Amino acid sequence: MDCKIFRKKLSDLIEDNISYDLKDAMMEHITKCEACRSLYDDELTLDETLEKALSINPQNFRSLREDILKNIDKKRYSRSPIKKVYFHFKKFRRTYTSMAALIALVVFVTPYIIKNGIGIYSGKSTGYQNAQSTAKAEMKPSLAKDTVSTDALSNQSKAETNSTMKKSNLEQFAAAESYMPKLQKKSLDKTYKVSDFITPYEYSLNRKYSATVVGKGEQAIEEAIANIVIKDLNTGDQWSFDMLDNAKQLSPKFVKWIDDENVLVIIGLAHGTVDLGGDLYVLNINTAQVAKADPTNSAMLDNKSEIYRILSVKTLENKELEIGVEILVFDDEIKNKTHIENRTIISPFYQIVKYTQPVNP
Amino acid sequence: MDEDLRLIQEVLKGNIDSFNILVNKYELSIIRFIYNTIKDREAAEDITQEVFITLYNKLYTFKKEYKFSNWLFQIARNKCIDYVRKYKRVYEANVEDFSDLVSNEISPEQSAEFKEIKRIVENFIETLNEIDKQIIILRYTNEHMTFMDIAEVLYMSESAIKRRYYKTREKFREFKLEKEKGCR
Repeated sequence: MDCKIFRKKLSDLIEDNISYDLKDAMMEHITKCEACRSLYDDELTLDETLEKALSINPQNFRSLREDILKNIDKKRYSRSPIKKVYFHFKKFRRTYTSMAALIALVVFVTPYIIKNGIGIYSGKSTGYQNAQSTAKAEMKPSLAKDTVSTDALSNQSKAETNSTMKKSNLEQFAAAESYMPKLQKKSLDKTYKVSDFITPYEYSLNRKYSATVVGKGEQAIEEAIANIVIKDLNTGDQWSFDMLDNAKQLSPKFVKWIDDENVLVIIGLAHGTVDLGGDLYVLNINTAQVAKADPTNSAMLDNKSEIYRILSVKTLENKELEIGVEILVFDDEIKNKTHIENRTIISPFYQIVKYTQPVNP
Repeated sequence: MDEDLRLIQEVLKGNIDSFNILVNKYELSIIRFIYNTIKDREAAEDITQEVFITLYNKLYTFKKEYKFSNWLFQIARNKCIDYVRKYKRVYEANVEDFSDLVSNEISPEQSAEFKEIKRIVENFIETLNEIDKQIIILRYTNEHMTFMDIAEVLYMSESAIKRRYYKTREKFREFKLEKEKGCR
């Protein structure tokens, strides 16, 4: 053994934490090497010094055994099973408390989760329901009319149906009800020529204006979002009315003049070959404001019917409009079979124009 | 089965004699540890008594996977910390006490030298921080308590204890040399 190894292992030797072989080798080494021996002795002395200095003479302390035994509750522990159970529970009270808390959590929270679902999923399902309802409303704006009582003019039977409806449905349809298509009026150049892909021209009563729907063909059945072009026949001025904020992909389909200022427009889904009609609106050509032509649903439209053609418009003595319309009625759920019915809409036109007229300062 | 564990089980069955044996076995180690920590004989006696009463009252919480003596030293250490906090004691070596505490087997000449050494050790220990001080006290008052046991009592790793221990030893060597030079 060389001194390097000896010094490295010296602390282990003092700790007596080495194998017998190594210990023997080290003890043999110090008989030959004076320097290492002195190191070893030095360590031992240090140990001894500390140990001695920290030792105490037991005789200087009184025995505490008697006092201790006097001061303890001798009946604290016994063979009694009750005490055993008591101390067992006391010892493991944290474990038992946390277990109890866990069980309580499971017992009380699980039924709640089963009932309501975990937050994320319940949120998702609501979202899904909303999406569905929105989609429905998009497909059928007329549906809304059927289910929501708009004002006092609504007929009683409808009101009764409404009252039985669930509140959530009401809210959904109310949201759909509030949807109103927007049209933007643009001036066109006098030389602008509309294409041939238009519905037949409709003329205002004294042939002051012409109006047509451009872009969906003569029958307005082609798939496209069309616009309305109105021409002042005297001056040659032309305007187009284009759908604005049209996330619902609606399109004007037919127009019919009421007077020189207002025109009835059927607005429905732009795409698809099933929904050929839509809802009926009044458009003020000066302000481009739009209002529902039949807010009371006097045509009794439901989710199986939509307005297909405007046949006639007549102003009554009380300033209401009598509008003759063709209604497209779907005979089955999947809208394969349809038939057409003639109905008459009584529209409170004098009220509607309040919304479409320019605002007087 | 470990003797201590057997005695504890007996105590928990209501056998006071077993507790008497336990006190007898550990009383001196505990009082030595406490006295070296707080340097006040009366207080050390009081605290030792308190340690054993607490031990008895909390004996049901003892977990057999731990070493009983380590658990007992933990209680003692905590009681010492409580005491120091309470009285904010400055550990000053009580010279009068020393004469009483010196082993009777030492001759008068040796006694003078021993007193000197003891004073140096006391002074040195005062310079140490709380942890190093407790490592040294535990190591030298309990027949070379193992580093693993010291680690358990002080809630530290064994390697950390060893590192600190050897560092403190080196410090003491230097401290002692310096003091001896000063004397000459």
